[in-house]
Amino acid sequence: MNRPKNTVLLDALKPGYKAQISGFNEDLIPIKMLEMGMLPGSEVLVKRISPLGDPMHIRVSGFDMALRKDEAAFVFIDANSITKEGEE
Amino acid sequence: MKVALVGNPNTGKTSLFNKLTGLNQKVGNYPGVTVDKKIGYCKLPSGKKIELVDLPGTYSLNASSRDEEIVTQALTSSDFEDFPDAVIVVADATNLKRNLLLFTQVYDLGLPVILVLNMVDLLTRIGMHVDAEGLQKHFEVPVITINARKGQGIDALLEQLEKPFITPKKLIFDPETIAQELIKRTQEVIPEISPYAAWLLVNTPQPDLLPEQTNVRLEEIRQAHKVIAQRNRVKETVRRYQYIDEVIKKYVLQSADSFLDITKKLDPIFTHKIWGFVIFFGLLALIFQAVFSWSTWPMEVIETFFSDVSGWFIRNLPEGPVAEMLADGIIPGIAGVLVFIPQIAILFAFIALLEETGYMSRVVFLMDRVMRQFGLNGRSVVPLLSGMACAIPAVMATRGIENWKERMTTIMVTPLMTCSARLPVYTILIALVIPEKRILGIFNLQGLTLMAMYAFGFIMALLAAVVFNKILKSSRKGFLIMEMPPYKLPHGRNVLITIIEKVKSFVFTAGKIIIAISVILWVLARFGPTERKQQAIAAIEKQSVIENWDESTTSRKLVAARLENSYIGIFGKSIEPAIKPLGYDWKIGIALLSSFAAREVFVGTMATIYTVGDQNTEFSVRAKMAADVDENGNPRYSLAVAVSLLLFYALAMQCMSTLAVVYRETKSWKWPIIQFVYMSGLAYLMSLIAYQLLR
Repeated sequence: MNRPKNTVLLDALKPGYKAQISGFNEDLIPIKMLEMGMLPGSEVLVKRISPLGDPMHIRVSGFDMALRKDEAAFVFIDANSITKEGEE
Repeated sequence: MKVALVGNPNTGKTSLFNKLTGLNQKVGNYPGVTVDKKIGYCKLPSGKKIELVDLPGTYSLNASSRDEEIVTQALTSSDFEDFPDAVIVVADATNLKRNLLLFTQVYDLGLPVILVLNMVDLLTRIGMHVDAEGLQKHFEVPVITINARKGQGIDALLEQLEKPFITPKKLIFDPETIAQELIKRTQEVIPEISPYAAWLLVNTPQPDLLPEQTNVRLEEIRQAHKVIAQRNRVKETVRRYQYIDEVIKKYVLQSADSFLDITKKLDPIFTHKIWGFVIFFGLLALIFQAVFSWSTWPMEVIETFFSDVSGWFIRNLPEGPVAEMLADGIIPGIAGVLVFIPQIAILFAFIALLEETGYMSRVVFLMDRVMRQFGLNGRSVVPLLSGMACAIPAVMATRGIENWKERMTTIMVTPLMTCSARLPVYTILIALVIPEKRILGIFNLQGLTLMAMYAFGFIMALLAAVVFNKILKSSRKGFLIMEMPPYKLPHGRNVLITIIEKVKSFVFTAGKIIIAISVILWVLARFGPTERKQQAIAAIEKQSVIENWDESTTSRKLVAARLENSYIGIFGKSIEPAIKPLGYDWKIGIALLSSFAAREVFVGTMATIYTVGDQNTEFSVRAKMAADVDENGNPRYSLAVAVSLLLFYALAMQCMSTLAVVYRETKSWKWPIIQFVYMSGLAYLMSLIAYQLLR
């Protein structure tokens, strides 16, 4: 899938910000990420990043998960939808 | 009648299984995978008995790992021995959306199904409501709410199991809407398969399960229809979630943020850039301390008990090979297995607690970045550091590592960590050649050397991990996609069952191998060519008369002579040319060979060879070793020899118990053999270099 316009990759989202998922790299994304609820249209919140810089702790589709930035880079988010949620 | 339990990880599936079956469980093997097969029996109120199969936790039937494939295999192929008559899907009611994915997949297989909603007690606390009755009407299959930990709702489930099973009548995701022709052709190859099972088989090749011919024909279909499994799976998952979203809207009332308060408060501390690490390393220190020192007392009790039993046999049985075999071969073998139970039990008590509370995920979150550099995983930290107490429970603790390659790497390098059995060997060798001196007024030089040995083991383990990461082939890219479950209070019963299960699996699988090897080693040390032995004994008896030895000296010399002329002694002598370049003589050769039973045996064997009495063994062995000279009159244990030996004991795979456990965990002899060869080869090489340089 070509990256749609006006998107950012999820690994670039800063802690405390949330955004809408607009799509993903269909050929490379581990299927497990979709199964855990990372779906187009869902809202994703970056809760924190591990003290050593990786992985990320995110909340999506109502539950919390950790994933490495390498994997987060398969997910596209809508740049217009980024809003600040407030850090924990 | 067979009923399969399936569900996402962390849904309380195992709690339910434990509740339904109690200790009436048995653990078996699935060929080719590392997960255990857990089967239990459950008696219904009417007296009817059902067999429950606890399948591995999975998020989906589109398996992401070999272990998860087992679930798909078990549910799609009626030839599979665990093919169930009905399926219970256990779902976490607080996380219904994600849990329904697996449920809708099982639903589409066309098998009778019961949906069990667990953790319903948490719903009100987090401001959620699930309409179970509505779900039951919607799906037209039984939906039962339970609290597996407290046992609520279990009766209703048992009652439901008494009734005739209900098979779903509709399809939620109909693969024929995407690929009608593909499904039709697959059903021609495997008759009587449901459309969705056909879809799964086409998308996930399962070469081990299906007959060769079927596989070939399926592969032809894949080629002809240009099946791209990844795309199909993405399509399926997205469609199912579209459907599930509608269901959730109808039947689940959810407040904006349902995460429990306690988790919100604890996470910032446990994953803090300073406190997170302080708490984690503090916990590790506690675990290490516990495995290392809390186990001392029970281990001593076990050892004393068995040495008393041995003594009793010696005193009460007629003298001869039978009594000796019991007292010196079999009983010490059994003791050598049981003595590890305290360490295994203590480590797994901690690990079960970390897993149950949800803290383990935070450990992975903190440590993943570091461990990844070495081809390991955040979950490798606990096994690796437990290896400093004992590699046996540590290797067993690698179960939690999902990725096959990272798990194998962890298993392969864990025995390089300095375990407690190396300690007596290190102590003796360090005391022999390192002067008791202080550096900078505070550091004891011997203590520093010991610390350096621990650091050396750790560094070698990390380096070996890098190498294994390069060598091991895996079709699956290592990734970390991990749930961060809310914190929960641990459940004592589940912790206890974990401990019992681990101890049982060690004693009954690894234990058998350990006892067998102990007996073989004993036979080799006890027996030898008769003539050669008699000559040696005669020579000593003669000398004893000439030199007027007292009785105990004579008997010690006789014991030494017997060992020297046993098969193991002869073998030790015959390998002298091979170990001479490392600076070892035949005495060390014998000690090396018998150390295969366990490293600490080195001290005892040295005591026998140097014919020291029983009192204060360690000290007197050291004195004898220090006094030993080589053919030129120089000390036998020079710095070069001691360093070479230290390196050898640090690196060589000399622990048959660990090898037996590696076999148990990997279900193949290939891995223990590779481990033995690479570690011992590395040991030989490093010792050779060290000795030749220092000599």
